[in-house]
Amino acid sequence: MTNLLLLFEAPSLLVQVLLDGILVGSIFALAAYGMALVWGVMNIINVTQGEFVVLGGYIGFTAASWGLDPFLCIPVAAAAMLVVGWAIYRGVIYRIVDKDLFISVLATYGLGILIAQLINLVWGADVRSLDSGLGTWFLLDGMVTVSQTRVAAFALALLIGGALLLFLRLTRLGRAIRATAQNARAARALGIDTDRVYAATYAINAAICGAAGALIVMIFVLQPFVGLIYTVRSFMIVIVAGLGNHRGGAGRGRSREFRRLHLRHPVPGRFRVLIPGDRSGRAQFAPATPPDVLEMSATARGRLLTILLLALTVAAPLLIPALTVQFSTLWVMIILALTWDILGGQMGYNSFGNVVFFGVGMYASAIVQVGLFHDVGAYTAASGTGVYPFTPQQYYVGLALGLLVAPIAAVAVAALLGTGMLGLRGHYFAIGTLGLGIAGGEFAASWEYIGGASGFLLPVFPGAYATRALFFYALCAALGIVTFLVLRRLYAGRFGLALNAIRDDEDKAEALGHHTVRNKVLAWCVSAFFVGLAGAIFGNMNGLIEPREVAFSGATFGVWMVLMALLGGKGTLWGPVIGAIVFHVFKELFWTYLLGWQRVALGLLIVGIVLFFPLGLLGFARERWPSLFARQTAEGAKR
Amino acid sequence: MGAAVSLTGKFSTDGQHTKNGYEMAVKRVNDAGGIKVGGKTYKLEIKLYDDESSNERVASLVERLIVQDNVKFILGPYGSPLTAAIVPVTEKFKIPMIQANAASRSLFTKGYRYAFAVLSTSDQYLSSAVDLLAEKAKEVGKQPSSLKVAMAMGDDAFSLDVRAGILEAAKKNGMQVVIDDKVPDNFTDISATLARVKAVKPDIFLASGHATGAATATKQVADAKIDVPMFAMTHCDSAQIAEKFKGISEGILCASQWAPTLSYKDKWFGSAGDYNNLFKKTYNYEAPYQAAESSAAVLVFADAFARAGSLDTEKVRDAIAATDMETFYGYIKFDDTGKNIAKPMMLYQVQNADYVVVAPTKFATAKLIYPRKTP
Repeated sequence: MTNLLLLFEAPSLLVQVLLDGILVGSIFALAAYGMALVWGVMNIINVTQGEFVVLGGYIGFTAASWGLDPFLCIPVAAAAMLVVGWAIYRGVIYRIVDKDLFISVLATYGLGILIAQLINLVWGADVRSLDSGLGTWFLLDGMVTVSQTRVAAFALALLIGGALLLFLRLTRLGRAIRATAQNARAARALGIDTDRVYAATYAINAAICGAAGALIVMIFVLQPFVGLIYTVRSFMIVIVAGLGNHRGGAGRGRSREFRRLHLRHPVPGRFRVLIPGDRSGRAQFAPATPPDVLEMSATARGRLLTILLLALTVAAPLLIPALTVQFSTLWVMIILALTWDILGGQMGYNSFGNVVFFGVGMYASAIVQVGLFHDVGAYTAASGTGVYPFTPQQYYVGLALGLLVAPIAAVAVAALLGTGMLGLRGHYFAIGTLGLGIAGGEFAASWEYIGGASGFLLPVFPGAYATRALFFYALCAALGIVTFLVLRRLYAGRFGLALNAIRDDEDKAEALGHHTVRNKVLAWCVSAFFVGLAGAIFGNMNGLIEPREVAFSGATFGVWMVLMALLGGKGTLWGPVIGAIVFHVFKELFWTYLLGWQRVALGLLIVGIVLFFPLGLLGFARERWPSLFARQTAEGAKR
Repeated sequence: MGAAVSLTGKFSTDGQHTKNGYEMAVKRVNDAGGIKVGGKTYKLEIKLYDDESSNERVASLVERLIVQDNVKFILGPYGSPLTAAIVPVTEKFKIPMIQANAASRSLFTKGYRYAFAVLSTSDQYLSSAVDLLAEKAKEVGKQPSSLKVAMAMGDDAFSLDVRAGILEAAKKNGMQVVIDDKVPDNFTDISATLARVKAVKPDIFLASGHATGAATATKQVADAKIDVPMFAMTHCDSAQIAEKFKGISEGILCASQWAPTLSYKDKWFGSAGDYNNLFKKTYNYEAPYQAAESSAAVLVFADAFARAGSLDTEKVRDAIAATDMETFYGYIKFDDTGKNIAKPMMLYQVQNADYVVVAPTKFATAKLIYPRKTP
């Protein structure tokens, strides 16, 4: 309110705010324009946009430190980034340009981690800024100030934007880019080298980001890890400007779908025959593979494997007690990957937003645990400055009720979000979920009742340290096993087949009388149930809930769960489990043995997963040694 | 000794200072022949991990240090949120930890037994600036209660603590807080706040948001030509504003734990000035207080090892609790809650592209320029 009143008291404020918005906004618009260009032409969401901007800024900074005029550094940064962009296209992007949109998010996310860490290694972690040497203008008796740097940046942003438009309109390459955006196949048929067009588009985008970065380093300050902010801003601008505005983006996407349909329709793990509806009008699904004799032995083998794994589960923390907490985290990772795969693998809906349920579960449980015995607001406001003790009995009762409420809260959120968002199909759903984690984090960080940005400290476990570790390990392992069994059960029944039908052809499933939206929401709720519970346990295990980094960490857990499912093989029951184990082990090894380079290694690992294991380890193994999987496939068919 | 510090992520600038401080002190102590503990001479060694500025990682790393790497003494990470995440771990294992860079008040109210901090708590950072303003107002015959306070605070636990301290000081002096903004996004843009600062003309503008925040505030206040009589912030030395923003940083007040001009001394580094010279020689930049307090934490351990005459964690813990020493960083003596009560907070002012101490008066090497002349 006081803010609004201020506007009337000091009308010049409005002018100032508007001016700042327009002048600085133009630079963000530049980065967003590049993002839209790549998105429209190549169907790639370049989430490394922010890192490109930051890298451009650092290059500009270095050029200036050689004595170059800050404004001359802009073309230098742009030219350098043109080369960087081209190289990245040749190295990585060309492999994913014809892949699913969400693959591009993962690959460029990995690249982003890599670039940020390389910037940190090359330039160090210091905050950098550049003085443009320009002054300030005063308007309205000095009440409104206009920084000349900002005006120059605005003019340059317009100039670059205009030049780009002309380039796209008038030059041969520009026309080729537009033609490719409208219809890549037709463009190819007309003799346009679309590969070159893609390379050029990606390089141009990097150059635009470079220029924007060189401008930003004059207006703001840069630090190696601020890229995410610029990515998010670009993304928001593109979304608000409208997805329809990437010329031909949607049309292109469709034509690619067609090509994929004809040329390399992914062969599902098993074939199915659709038997048109029974009297109730519903479709009946029946496995195409007849039950065979091999199944017996397959089941027996499966049972042996299960017993072995269970033994390992129990033995792991006893054999290497030092690693108990890492094992517990591994179980949480497995749960996250497994539940992500319900939508992502079985149903074909790639969600980046599941981490919201993690955070909701975590906070819901925390509120119950504390709220039962104390006033939550006072507890968090005190942030430990007051003493709020819990007796052991209070602790366990609170935890039990917290673990009961957490999944309910998460399911409620999933039902609400799902009803709103699962009407969206395919890519649009994935894009819609991208911002969920960030939104959840900001919401929690601004809610003082639950501790805001300072976080929420949970009651302390009343036992000895080793007991605590084992206690949470048992909880995590139990939940992991239950999740696995429930999902196996679900996938084996009608529900699983209904989800697969949505993945394979949603229109047909609908035409056959399936309530697709209801099933989709239900599937998300199942996912949310387990993720919420896992969140509640993880929160207690961690001890401190921090809104952005622990609870709603879209950039870590949110993306990792996708990567793990993908690495193991999405759409399979064991894939996410294997993926989680491999990913977690690698990650821990990197942190132990590659200090300083661990994020570089992680980035490379992510890019590697996306590029070389699109079908996952299971898919890869199945393709390479099909004979090994003969029985599993038969068993899969029975599932 | 073991430590997890932020070499990547949002605290990487300050994390690097922390690491440099730890490593320089360890080298110094070892070069001086190590430490005699119960008749045997030991060399210090630090095992470091990168916590990525993430409190989700830091706890598991510290646990790894203790359980897998058998580390018996922990040096704190950079920042209160990360420290809050690890204290439960060190307490559980009864491992002494000396935190060099965690000033949050809430860390000292939980009855932790094995955690000690060499620095002043964060609520004192900028409350000293508010008190200084009140003092100056009285000098020119103005009522402190007629003064208006504006602040932009980062959305993190440390800055929120700083804010709490400011609010208390403002209330004590009867000042009116006219702008009280929380800045999102790691404090990369405060132009919206500054537009309002311009409109309401406060008597003091305060900002806190780690190194990024200090650099952003310095630059944007200058760009917007904000004219406030007093402009104070935290982390200016870690953002190196006097060196990197020559001219526009003139007259800014900086809260600091330490200054190289102080007259404290110890047997390892000599005076505060000697420490600064050695640091400059080793790392090519002026020693920020984050590095100084980190080195001091190592010295406290070294001193405690020698006095305990044993490397038993319980004995070392008692020796640390009984610490009463002078270091180049200041006097160190812990109260029952583990915080250092022997050292006051400083206020620097940037004058002629250099940091000079202007408050408290006892340590002042120059006179405060008030009101600040907008460059």
